[in-house]
Amino acid sequence: MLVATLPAIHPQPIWIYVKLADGEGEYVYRIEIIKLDSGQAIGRIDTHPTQIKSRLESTDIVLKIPPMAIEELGVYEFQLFANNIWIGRTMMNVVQIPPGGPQS
Amino acid sequence: MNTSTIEVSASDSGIRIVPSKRESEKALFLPPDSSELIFAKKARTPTQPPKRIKFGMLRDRRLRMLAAITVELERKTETFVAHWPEIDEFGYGDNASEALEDFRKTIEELYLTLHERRDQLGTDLQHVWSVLLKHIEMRPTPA
Repeated sequence: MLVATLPAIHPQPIWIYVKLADGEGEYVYRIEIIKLDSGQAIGRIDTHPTQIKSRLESTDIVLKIPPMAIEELGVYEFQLFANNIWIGRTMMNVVQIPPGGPQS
Repeated sequence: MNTSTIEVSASDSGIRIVPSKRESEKALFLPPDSSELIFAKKARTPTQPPKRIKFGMLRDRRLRMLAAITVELERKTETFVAHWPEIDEFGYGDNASEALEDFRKTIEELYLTLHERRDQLGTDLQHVWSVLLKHIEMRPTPA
């Protein structure tokens, strides 16, 4: 994500898509948004309990993170937990637009 | 009577419904086997990074997780350390996630190595192998 000034707002919601395998039973998912260099959590979202019927089938889940405030440059990580177990992550790198625009 | 308004915008690619500002500020969740988005809860943000984490992510397709591994996370000056005290295995990185990623590789390699030599293990490694078997198993190979 390119930002001109800070603090900034990610103007659009962020959608997270997850494909899971080997799950079965009831799961509550959690997304924690972490500022990676400090390890500081900046947001957390819990889902309602949902069922996965069979571990033989893959499962798709989609989460929408509302527009978020960005106060510092750096890497933000979206960590996925299922029943409090860390099962995955994805990252967003926030960098400043160089003077003169992104082409310079 | 409850009324709600939705905003509709037209573009070359078609018409799309634009959620209201209030709606767009909510977290949503599309559960498995569903076509309906439901609201997810914004929970209280933890103030401190976790000191331990339940680890449950393997990438090697030959392996399957049976039970989560409780891993201790510790920052040591410039390095993060992920530690599984039960068998004294470690992962290192510049942050907690890198340490967990390194830990994952270590555990996967350890499992595969011990699996290959499982009939020739000494006492210490037999203990490590028995602990690993509680958490990880080999995925059955298709016939």
